Amino acid sequence: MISSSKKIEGTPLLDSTKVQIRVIKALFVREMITHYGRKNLGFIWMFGEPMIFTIGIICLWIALRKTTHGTMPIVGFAITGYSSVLLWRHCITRITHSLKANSALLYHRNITLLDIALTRGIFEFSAVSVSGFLLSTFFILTNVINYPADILKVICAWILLGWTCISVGLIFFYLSIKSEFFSRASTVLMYVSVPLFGAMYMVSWIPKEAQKIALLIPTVNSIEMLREGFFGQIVKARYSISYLVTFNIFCFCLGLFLMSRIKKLGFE
Amino acid sequence: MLRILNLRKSYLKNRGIHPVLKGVNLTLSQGERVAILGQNGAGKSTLIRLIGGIEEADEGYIQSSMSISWPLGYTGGMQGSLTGLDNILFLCKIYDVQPHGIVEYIEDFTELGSFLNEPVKTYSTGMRGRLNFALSMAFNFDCLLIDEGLSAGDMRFAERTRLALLKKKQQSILMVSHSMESILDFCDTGYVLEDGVLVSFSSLSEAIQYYRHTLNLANSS
Repeated sequence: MISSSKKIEGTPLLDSTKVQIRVIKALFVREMITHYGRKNLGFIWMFGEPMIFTIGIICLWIALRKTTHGTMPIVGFAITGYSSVLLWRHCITRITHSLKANSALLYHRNITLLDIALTRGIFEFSAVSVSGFLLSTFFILTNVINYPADILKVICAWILLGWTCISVGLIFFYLSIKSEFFSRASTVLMYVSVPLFGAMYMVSWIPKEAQKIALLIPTVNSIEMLREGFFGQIVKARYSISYLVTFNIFCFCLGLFLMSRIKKLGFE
Repeated sequence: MLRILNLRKSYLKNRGIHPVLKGVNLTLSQGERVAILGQNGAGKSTLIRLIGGIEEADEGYIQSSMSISWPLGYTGGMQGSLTGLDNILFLCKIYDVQPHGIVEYIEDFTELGSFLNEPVKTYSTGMRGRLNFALSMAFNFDCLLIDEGLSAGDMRFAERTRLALLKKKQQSILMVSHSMESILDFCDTGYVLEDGVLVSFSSLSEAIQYYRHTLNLANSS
């Protein structure tokens, strides 16, 4: 038999980072198997599900002709908007509820609540990213939308948005573990957040006074950036990368700090 | 060597604080097999969970040069919707062990056969206990933490377990159980956890006698 790894109390930073990466990788695969089964092409559901959602919304928006704002292409508007909504909603609600399915795994000393939350966040980010990528590729190849004006900007904006979602997700995760009330209220919060979130409008469409407030919402900034990357100068995007990065760093550190207080379920 | 110094742990109740461990001291050397006796709610499982790293103590130290298993009990350790086999592969990754050889060993040891391809949530308590124990044997921990885990198996499994443990003389055991049978089977020292501290005895039978004594007192009062 092979001897297992030795005790890990007080391991140096590098070693514990290695352990954490190994644990998150294993949890990621586990997440895939339990969500979608390991039979044949079950993993397609990982990004198939968000794709179906997005396609549904695109059809709905075309039918309703929701945007009449000048040159904004409606399919592109829907893909950028709804993929972002999905990222926000899936990341946060699924991080918040990741504990239930995984609590038995906390029996292993190397697995912490942070690992479980981060894995879920990365998992949802990957799923929605693949979905968004496949849909955009399809619509670009069929000439429904143009090739992105600045692909690098699209990727950066998307990563910044994902970073926000995972950070906020960590904070939500902590709060819902600490408070049953918050856990229930978070569902309502998610509903309320969607119209404010920035997917349904561009900042330049709303009144001047409201613009200032809208730009305080970090996700509005990243979606503006995402759309500028996609459509170029035809959209008059307004955003601040420095605000976004500052907010993300603050939120992520707060999330990590909170999670460090409840490594395991032995809280109070 | 596992050394526990002045370990304290309390939980919040609706009103006030409930101290469970009030300064537990324990030294366990390589190859030693220790049973911890105590009434329900005495804090045996809490102690096991602290040593297993599932919870953190309020005060005190746990130092160990040994690798320690997760607490082997009726629950915990396995993901219910994964199959037995997937759980094995998952834990191999978590504990950084090559799965080669492990799977065969567990198939042989648990005699679970085709059930290894079924989700763990469909297992009976005994089957889960068998898989849990076999995994920890396969991973070769220096010290096993057993929280009622062995009492779930049948006599055939108990016999296999005893033989396997006899072969690994260097493996330490820290065990909590209400089954005196399995305690006598596997352990050679006993402690009684009482009032949040560990009371030590010169022999296992003395510890059991004392424990029976406290139970009678509790019943008559």
